[in-house]
Amino acid sequence: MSGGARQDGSVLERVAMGDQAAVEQCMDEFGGLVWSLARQMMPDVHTAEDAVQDIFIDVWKNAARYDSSLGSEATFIATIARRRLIDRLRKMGRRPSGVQLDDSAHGPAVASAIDDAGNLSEEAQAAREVLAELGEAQQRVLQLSLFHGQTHERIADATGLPLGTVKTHARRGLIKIREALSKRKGGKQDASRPSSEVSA
Amino acid sequence: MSDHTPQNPGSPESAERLLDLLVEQASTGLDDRGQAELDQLLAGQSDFAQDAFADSASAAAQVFAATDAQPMPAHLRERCIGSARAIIGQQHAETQSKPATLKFEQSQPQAQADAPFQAQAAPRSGGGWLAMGWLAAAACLTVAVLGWMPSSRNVEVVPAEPWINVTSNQPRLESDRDLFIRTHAEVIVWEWSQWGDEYAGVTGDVVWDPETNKGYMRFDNLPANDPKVSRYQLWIVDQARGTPLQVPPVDGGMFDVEASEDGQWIVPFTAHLPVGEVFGFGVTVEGPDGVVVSDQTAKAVIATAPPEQG
Repeated sequence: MSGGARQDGSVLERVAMGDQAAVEQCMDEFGGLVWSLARQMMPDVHTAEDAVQDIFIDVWKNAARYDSSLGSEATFIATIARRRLIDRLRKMGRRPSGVQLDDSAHGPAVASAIDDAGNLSEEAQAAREVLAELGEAQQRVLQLSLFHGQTHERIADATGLPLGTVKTHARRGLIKIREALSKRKGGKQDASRPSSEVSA
Repeated sequence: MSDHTPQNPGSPESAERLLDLLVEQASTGLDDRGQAELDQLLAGQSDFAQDAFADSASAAAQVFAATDAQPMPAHLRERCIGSARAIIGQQHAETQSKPATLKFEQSQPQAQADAPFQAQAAPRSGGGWLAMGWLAAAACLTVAVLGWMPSSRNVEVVPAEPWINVTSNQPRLESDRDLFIRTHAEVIVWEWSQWGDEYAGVTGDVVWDPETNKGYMRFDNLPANDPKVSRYQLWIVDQARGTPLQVPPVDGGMFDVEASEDGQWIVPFTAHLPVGEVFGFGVTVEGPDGVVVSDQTAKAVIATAPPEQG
């Protein structure tokens, strides 16, 4: 998966113009990303497949609205995907995801996995740099929350961390990533307040 | 979203609460109550916007996903590509037909239109009129149904990638259909009824499996067509796509019928958009390239759920 700027026009722009080859290229480049997000957040493979179909319907419908000056295609698609998946989780009453939470909560450190992450969009590279600087517990909270779609309460139960600590880890981590993204974009995003001011 | 005392806008407590809600929105989503509280807090400040942490959450999720890369199953990939074909074709058709007689409801708020990372609602394309025809058809199948769409709203549109359901090798299709029914537990079988005046003698049924988004049509006495002049086209009404008054039917593809000794003809089909809750099927006669939205000037047959027994 990749999200860098393309010299021959963005895949999504070409998708919006009805270019069938671009549709297949889009699936090649971002299908794995969406599939990974869906598998982690949905309770079973069947539901994950349904969700992926819905996500790509949204992607096709919104392809013309992609603006490369605001972010990478990977982040555009991942944002649509996460929104759809979160909506589904809420409608399902947050049934447990397919992932074994205990394993994720107490398994090997995610730091090495973060270091090994391959070809990433510009925003994801910024996020990786931030994540690499975080402590293991904070990394794990963000992984369980943002990748596995777990509530803070469940994360607290699974990790043994106090709920307040889980919330603080999630909040501080997201704020740091947001600040890093904002720096990369030259302050295009909302002006982030200093961490000391907003941290819990 | 737990109970929470409303904060005074601008207070340090409200700033903290705003951050909590934004983080929760990006992480696991907010319920209606939480979203309402967030909306209220956002209105009282200018530092943050709705979904302020969405990009950050997506960026982090990409990092974790990169450590978990697995290829998407081939059948799922094909279904997604098929949906692109249908949707992009429909969007092109809508764009082309905008200056014509069809009026598309552009009810999307400006704020949403300005937010490129925000998914938009399904396009609406005069589907109210379309669905009215379907509802009327379901209500009074034995009489001449009301127009699906007024003929004055004729839409001259062609899908970017029309597809034709393959009907060669009829003996094989008959056995495939039988096997399909036996091996798919959720299939429904609905009988065709007359829809257009010229199709009074047509009978048969449509088999549909909601799990695979596939089915078979079987016709007796459906006249053969000349593909250079006209083609049959299948439409699937999906209630799950919204209220029937808002969403036009899903295109089930075109098909050709040839003369056969026993008058029977079987057509396999795949809906190229996911169908959540099927309400009915209709077959119209269109031009050689098919249409994205039928004006229903040539209706053939229709099928809906049989009346409840007892």
